[in-house]
Amino acid sequence: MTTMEATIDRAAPSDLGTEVEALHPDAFAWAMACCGRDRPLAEEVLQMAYVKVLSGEARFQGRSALKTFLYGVIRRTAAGERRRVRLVAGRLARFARLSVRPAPVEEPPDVAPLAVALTHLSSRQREVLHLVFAEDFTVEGAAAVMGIGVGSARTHYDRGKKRLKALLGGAR
Amino acid sequence: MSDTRHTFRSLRAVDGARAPSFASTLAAGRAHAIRPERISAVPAVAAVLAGVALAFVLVPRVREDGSLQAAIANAREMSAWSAPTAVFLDPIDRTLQDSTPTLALSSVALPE
Repeated sequence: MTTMEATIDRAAPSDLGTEVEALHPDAFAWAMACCGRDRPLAEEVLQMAYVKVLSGEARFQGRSALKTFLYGVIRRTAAGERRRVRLVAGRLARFARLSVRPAPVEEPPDVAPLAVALTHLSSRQREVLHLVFAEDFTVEGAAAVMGIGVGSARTHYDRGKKRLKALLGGAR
Repeated sequence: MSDTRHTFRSLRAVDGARAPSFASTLAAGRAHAIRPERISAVPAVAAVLAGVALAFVLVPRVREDGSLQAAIANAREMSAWSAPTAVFLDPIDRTLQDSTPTLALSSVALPE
C-alpha cells in the first residue's frame, strides 16, 4: 500500500465514505453541471474531489451539510480544471485550428433541449439553476455551495432563468 | 416553471444513472493521486538555465587551471614572434646613417 492510499484509508472513516457514496449519482450530475456537460472532465473532477474529501485535504468540519460541503469541493475542483483545460486546449486548438467544445452526449429526447440550452448559459447561471431546480436548494443554499454572496446568486438565478426561458422558447 | 423543474430532475436522474461506479471513481482518483507530481515548468527551466550558466563559468576556469604550462609556452612564443614586415621598420641604409659626420667645430676648417 502506498503512502497516499494509506492516508486516504486512514482519513476516511467508513461512515464518511458511505455518506459520500450515497451522494455519488447526484454528485456526478452536479459535476456534469459544473463541467458544462463535458462527461470525461466531470469524471476526472469527481475523482479528484473524492480524493480531496477522503484524504482530508478538504476537511469536512460539520459546519454545513455534507452535501453542501461535497458540492463546494466539486465546484472548486471543476473551476480549476476548467481553467486548466481552457488554457491547454485553447493553445492546442489555436495551433491545430480546432474547436475546443466537448463532443455532444446523446441525451433522451425529453431532456435533450434542456441539456443543450444549459451549455449556452454561463457557468454560474448553470450551477445555480441546477442546484435550485434539480436539487431543491434555496438560492441561499446555492450561494453557500458556490461560495458567493446571496445577492450575486440571486442575480445569476434571475438572469439564468430568463435566458433559459428564451432558449427553450426558441427551441420549441 | 414546474415543467422546467421536472425536466431538470429528469436530467439529473439521467446523469445519475450514467454515473460511473463509486468504487471505480475512487480507485481512479487514488491512482491519479499517487502518480508522481508533475514537474512545474518554471523551476525546471530555472534549473536548466542555472546549470548552463554554471557550465559557462566553470569550464573556462578548468581549462585555464589545467594548461598553465601551455599558457606560459604560448606567451613565450608570442613574445618571440615578429611580423614579416618588421624589416621595413629598420632604416633603409643603416651604414649611411652610421657614416654621417658629426657636426663639430673641429671638423670645419675655419679661415685664419
